[in-house]
Amino acid sequence: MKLRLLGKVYKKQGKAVFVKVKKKDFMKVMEKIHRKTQGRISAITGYDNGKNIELIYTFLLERYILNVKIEINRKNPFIQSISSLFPAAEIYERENFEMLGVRFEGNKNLKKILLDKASPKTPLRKGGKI
Amino acid sequence: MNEKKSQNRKETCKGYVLPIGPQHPMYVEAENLMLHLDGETIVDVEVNIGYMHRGIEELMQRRNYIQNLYLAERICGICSGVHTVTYCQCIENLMGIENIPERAKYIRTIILELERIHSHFLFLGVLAYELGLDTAFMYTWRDREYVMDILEMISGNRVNYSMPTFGGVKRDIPDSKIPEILKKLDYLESRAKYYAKVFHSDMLIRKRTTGKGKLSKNFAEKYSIVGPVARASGLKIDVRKDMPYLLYDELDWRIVTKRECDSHARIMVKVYEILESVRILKQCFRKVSKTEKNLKIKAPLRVEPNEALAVTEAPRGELLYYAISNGTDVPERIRVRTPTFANIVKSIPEILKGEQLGDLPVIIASMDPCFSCCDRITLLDVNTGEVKSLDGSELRRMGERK
Repeated sequence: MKLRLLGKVYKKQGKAVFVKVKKKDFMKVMEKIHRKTQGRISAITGYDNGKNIELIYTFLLERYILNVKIEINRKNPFIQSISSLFPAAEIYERENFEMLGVRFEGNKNLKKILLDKASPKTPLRKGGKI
Repeated sequence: MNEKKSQNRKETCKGYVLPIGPQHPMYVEAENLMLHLDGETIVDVEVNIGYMHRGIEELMQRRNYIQNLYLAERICGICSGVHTVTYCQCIENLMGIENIPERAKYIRTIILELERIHSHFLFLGVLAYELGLDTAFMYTWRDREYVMDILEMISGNRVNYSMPTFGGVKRDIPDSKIPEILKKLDYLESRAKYYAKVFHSDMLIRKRTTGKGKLSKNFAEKYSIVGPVARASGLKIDVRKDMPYLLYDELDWRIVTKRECDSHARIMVKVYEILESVRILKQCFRKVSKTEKNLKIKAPLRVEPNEALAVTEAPRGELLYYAISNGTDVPERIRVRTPTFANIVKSIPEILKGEQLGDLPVIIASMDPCFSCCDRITLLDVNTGEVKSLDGSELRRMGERK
């Protein structure tokens, strides 16, 4: 798989490759990763940088670790769910939903996973109350 | 008439919901299993986790890198060493430190492998206890003390070793202690071989575990199951071989896999992994005395804006740390993905469906949880609203009777 075709390769660290992808290409890239590799999804890391919310999808492939980064709007954070392609992603999507308030369209089981019902909404956001 | 009676009985038994937990620290976390039962057969399971959520990721954003080193160590009580090593590797990647001294690499590998042995011995003990084999439980935990002794000799602590730091390790392993440690390793090897024989051939263990709690290879692939559970389902994955870190690519060892996919395969994978770990340790101890006595290199306090990750193989599977820095001495974001989180939510319903309630403790134990704090189980009859309580020992007796 040619990584340049996925998006902009912005960092390399040993066996880990970091690729930045635009939101409109997101589903195409995920389908490509699903089709071309037997990749296992390891994590979805959510991060609020103050302006946008960054999501980093980490895949463990045969020879390297692929990190796909995507930025989404902080005020209206939504992105398509990849749980139909990678069923293991469902729990990581649920985690980001409760920690950062990202809505994953297409995830049928989008509810809290770690926090209690009474706990604060989106605790990992900047300026969020804990 | 009799038919009618039995039919009535079947109907009243349907729709039982049996909550297990939340005061039930199976894996590292306490969790709640809602079992939907038909008689004694498990029809469906809902897994609710998060009862042990302490907000460590948020806490890490308020402390500096050095303080986080101690916080990372306290994420898990059993595999505390692998958390610090992975955190250090992740922050070293963030700082741009590529090569740590050779001796530090050896010491880190030694800590990781000793921890794997002690975690696997603990697992064997818990599993034997759930099977009602108290002698085997005491034997394995007695042998675990030998590993704890070695860890204490090296680090001064039994649980939180606090050995790695950025750029190397804090304490050295004195060469004078190595012969004694090697002797203890010989003993551990002979014991592990004995357990391999016992757990492989004992009729009782075989009957209770063979064919129970099946987790197919397809499922493990689809749901990204990690660690010994995945290896027992025939997946040849191990971060130590796939993405070698420390010295694992220089040492001679092999990945243990099984194709049977059941509880017994999960036990055998762990027993053989103890033998592999002993093999790694012997090589390390023989080579460590030949390396230079250089323990660490200087690491900066502040870290330039950057992002990095580190993946390692913890005793229970793949452990991932992802860190983002912002130029100060406090990290911007640190994300921890533990192997339990990947393994438990989707696979527990899959392996328990269709099994008998009496087999539940053994099957859950074979997934490597910490079932020792098995507190209380409430039986709730949905139809009548009647609530009964069973304590852990009663559930265990039920398992033994079977």
